[in-house]
Amino acid sequence: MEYEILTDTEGNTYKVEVLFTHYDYSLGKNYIVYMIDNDVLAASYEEIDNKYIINNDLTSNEYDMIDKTIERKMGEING
Amino acid sequence: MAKYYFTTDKVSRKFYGINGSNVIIHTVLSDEEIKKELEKVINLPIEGIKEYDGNLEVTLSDNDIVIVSLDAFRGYNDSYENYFLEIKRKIKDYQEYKKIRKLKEKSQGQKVLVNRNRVLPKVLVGTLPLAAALLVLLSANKDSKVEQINYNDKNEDILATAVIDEVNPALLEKIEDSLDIEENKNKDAVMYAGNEATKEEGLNFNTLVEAPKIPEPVEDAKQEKEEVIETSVLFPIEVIDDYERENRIQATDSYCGEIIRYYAKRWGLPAEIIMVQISQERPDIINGVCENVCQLTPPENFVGDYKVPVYDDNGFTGSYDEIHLDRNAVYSLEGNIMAGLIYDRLNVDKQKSIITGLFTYNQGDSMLSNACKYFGLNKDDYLGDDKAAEACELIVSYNDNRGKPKYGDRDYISNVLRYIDFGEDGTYKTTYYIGEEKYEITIANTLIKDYNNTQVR
Repeated sequence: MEYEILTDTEGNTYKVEVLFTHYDYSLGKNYIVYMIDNDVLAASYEEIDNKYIINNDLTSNEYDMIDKTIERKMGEING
Repeated sequence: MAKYYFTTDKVSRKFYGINGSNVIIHTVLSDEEIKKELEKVINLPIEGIKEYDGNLEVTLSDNDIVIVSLDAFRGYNDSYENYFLEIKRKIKDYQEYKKIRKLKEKSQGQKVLVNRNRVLPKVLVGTLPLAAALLVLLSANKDSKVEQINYNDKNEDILATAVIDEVNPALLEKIEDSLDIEENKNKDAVMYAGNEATKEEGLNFNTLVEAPKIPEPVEDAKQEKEEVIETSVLFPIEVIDDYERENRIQATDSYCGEIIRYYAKRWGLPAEIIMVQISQERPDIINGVCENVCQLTPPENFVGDYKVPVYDDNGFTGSYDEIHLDRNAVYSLEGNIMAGLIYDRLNVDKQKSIITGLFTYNQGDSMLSNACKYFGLNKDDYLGDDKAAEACELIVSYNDNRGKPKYGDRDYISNVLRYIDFGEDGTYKTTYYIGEEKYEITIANTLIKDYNNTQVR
């Protein structure tokens, strides 16, 4: 399994498995979808000082968008 | 099964064939051999990727193995740069595909939703700098094993590397920015006029557009008559109401016509065709504002450095615009149009045709290659305006066969060219450049006049 370390806005770090990143044009933000212990999680992120700083505080609209993106990506995989 | 090694000596990329097993012999490859193998890596499905000692070992579907040093993905100002950008994108797609597939298998048909309530456990480790984090993202962690996944034909659509996709490539692009590339920076960059936002020192230039040959100086003082290659294409194009057509074009022209004409002419593209293309692409202009006129998807995909050949009334000038587009630029009107036209330029060069190039602007610049591979056809037979109708049809068939009949706009050419005034004889003529050659294309609208597949003249 491949792990990466993400940092949140308070400086806390998390060891995660990144699934994918996604830029949402209508919301104008970058998002990262990752896994911890078989849980699928998501956050928005910004690049600050050459690091990815994640913000786990998403709105329900943002979560809905990410759920749809996951569904679309999984739907694209045949067989 | 052949084996290759692509690496660097920190100054430039090096390419070798690998022979032998107990005794390894590295053979320097010719330019032709290099490009042939790079094309294979781009176009063939990946069977598996292993990572070790700063290298990626990529196994292709024809059992060729290509070992690529991670250093080779840094920006080098050589003629292979665009290949490595494509390969990097393809590897990223492969890794994402692998993860999504694993997730799908684990879910066993259940819908996968983000856990909105999870409290995250914190890890007492230092944060990795961006470059290292991205290298980990690109390749497997050294302490882990990378699984090999075999693809079946149905997975090919995941691997088709359309440049326009929804995965933000910003992560991979940053590898080049964060690693030490001082030796590749060009401090005497030529910037396009008038955009303060993009002025920057020390740019790392990636050659996106294939450089045309610089013509030999002519000893005779007289100007030689410019040779023009005449081509033609027949297309059924549903004309629209004159009022609607003129209204749409006029609105585009008023909003951004000057910018379109300037860059289209400068970069050897037919200005009127680009004008109608953008008229088709752009959203409505509301309260004097139209966002993302070129419908870049997303604009972030076009952040980067470009080198575009410059033309004037006499043809290729021998010089290039060296351009840096940052995030602000691709969201500005002028930068957005520049990015769109740069992508037009790439597609026209790649498909050797303004018509097919327009279509792959919509479908993705690798789609003609992918379609030819899928059907076992020679891509050279589908290059050029004379083959544009067949090339577009082939791409549509490819999408139908892989279960994506609604991929992009299958009627894109018709939808763009419906804004052209074909007149009563149903033809339209324009000129443009590919490399140092000038082309004059005649487009015949077969819904106005039935040409019975005869030569249009």
